[in-house]
Amino acid sequence: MKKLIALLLALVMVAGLVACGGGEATPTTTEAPVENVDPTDAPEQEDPTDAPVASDITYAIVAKSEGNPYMEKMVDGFKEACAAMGVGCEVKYPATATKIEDQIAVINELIGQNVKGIAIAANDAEALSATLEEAKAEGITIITLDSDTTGSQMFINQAGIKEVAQVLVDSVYDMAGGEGEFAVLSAASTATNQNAWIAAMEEIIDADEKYANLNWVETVYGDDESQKSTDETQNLMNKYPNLKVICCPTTVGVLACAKAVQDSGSAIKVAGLGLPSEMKDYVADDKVCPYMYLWNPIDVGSCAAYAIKAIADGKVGEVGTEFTADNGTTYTIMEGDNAELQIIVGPPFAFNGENIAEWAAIY
Amino acid sequence: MTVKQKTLKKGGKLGEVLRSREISLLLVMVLLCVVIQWRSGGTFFTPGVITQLAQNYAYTAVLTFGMLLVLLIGGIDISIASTLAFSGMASSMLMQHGFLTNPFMVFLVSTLIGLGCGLIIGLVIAKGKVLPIIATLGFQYIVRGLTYVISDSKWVSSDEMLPAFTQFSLDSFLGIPYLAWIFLVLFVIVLLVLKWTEFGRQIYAVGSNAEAAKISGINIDRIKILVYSINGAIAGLAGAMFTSKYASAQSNMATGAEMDVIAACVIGGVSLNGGQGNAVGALLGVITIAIISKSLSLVGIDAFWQQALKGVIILLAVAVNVLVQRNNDREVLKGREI
Repeated sequence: MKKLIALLLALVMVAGLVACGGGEATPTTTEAPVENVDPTDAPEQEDPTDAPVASDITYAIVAKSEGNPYMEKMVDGFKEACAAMGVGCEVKYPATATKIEDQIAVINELIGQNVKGIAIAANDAEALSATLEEAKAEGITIITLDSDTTGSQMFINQAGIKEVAQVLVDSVYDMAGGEGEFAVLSAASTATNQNAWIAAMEEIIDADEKYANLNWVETVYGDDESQKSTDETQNLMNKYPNLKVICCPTTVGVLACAKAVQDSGSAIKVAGLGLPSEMKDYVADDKVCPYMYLWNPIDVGSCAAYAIKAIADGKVGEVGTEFTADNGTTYTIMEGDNAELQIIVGPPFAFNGENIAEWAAIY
Repeated sequence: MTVKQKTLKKGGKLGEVLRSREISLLLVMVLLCVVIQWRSGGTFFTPGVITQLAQNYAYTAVLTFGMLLVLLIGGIDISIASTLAFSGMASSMLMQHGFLTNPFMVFLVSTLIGLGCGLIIGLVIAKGKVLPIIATLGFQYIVRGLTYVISDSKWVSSDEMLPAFTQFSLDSFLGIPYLAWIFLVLFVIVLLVLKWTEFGRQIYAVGSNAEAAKISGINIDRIKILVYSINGAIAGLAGAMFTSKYASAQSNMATGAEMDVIAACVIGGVSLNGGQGNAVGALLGVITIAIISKSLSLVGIDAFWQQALKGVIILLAVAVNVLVQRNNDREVLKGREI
């Protein structure tokens, strides 16, 4: 009896492995039609695992995690750009966003697959560098997007810290009518991006007399959880009856905050960075959030793919010079913080009552 | 055990009341509230904030009653947050695509999906003889993973939901929000079932001494499967409450909620060894957790310290509870004839 059960279990495991193998193979085949546009460009592959890819060049993108619509849009942009350039595209997700070993494992896998370039949304600012050095030694171009890490050749910055902080401060100033109390609802108290923007907002407000009548009452942290963000928003409203604006530089926070403010019927306005598809019900002149900002993740993804090509083609020069990528856009090369170089995709994009419906359909 | 205490009646009615774990927890809560009210400059205990508390933590309270049943049979379920997300996401997607057009149906379908998840978990634990913590650890990942798969990592946003569904969490009856009614009704049901039904007594029997329960003719597997199914159904119900409240279904929603729920049970005097605890304790426990979570940022403590403080308060509440229990046990022993 026990032997029978053991045998059955073993069979189930084998079946599971086969099913998993099948699952992994599917994405590459679904990518295939995009690259097969040019039938003349389909030479025989030495490596049978790369068989469905038409071009012998493949670029890969490593996302932060699965289950994040923002990441998905970035991946989409990357895929489109790869298709436009006629190179293959491989999309990888680490098993978790919290354990850096998972991203390392994925990168090692990609080195084995002989890809020519990797774009990574790094889950750690340091821990990937050794693995990335190995990849570079194999002749793979390494860039980072969304979140930077050491060991990357270029960081595709979605928006400069100062530019983001400036639009946030200006929206607070505008929505408060030039004076009065405002608060900030951030993500986790340890979130790198949010803390950098908040620090830059402080600098901007201190530096300009124009903002002297704005009273920044408190910064609270919603940890990017609906429940905690709602609690914090309600606490702010209870604590500061004269509060005019809450500024949320986080997509989860701004959604929970807008919902909580709208439900309360308060006259407080919400400013911040939000996903159009999620915020559709809250953005309009007469609603809780007159307008908000975000960069375009599709552009970030596609910019990353073009940047890999530009580096591989030797177009990228010294800090301070410019280069024009294959998409026709000219970027200024700047010194990176963790990566060697960085470029900024563009200024944050404003979503208001007029364009929100159109963008909500996209992401 | 409760039966024995009642027959003894040492120290009269007043002594019995003071020795009760629930009363000790209530005292801790009152103390906590006084401190919060003082530190927050009187902004915490207003009717508005209490309504917010009831709405924001209704789903946590609901989950706590499910967890109470599981802990009572000596099990544990750390997959509830995943079940919540899966049921909430699946029912929201059915609504998004127009299959569900009645808000009541969304709640029902979400509960049924949760029931299905719970049933599978119960079968694996009871029939497969897998340790509950291991089985539910596995299901925590499996069910969360399935949530990503069915949603294709996309969210369901408020404009894709039925207006009546999102409005449900804002409306109230007799001044009490609907969401709070759900957990109050569930509280009464769990209280009655545990106190006065055969099923309730079987739950305690399985948790206190499984061997003895088996010998006395209780079908342990049946009780286990039932309890995990009920817990799954409750998590499914909580999924609909969550998506209604936040007007958004996100595949990573409520991640980590199981920890607050287990903490609420433990604060409420529910033993992780099974067989000990009741619905009143669980209710007080979850109210304590809700007050702590909601008020931390109001008492003017640096954000970096809030997490640590939450842990300290939880430990203190449990410590008081354990000390009272130990004292009780001693009193009971004293009363025994040698």
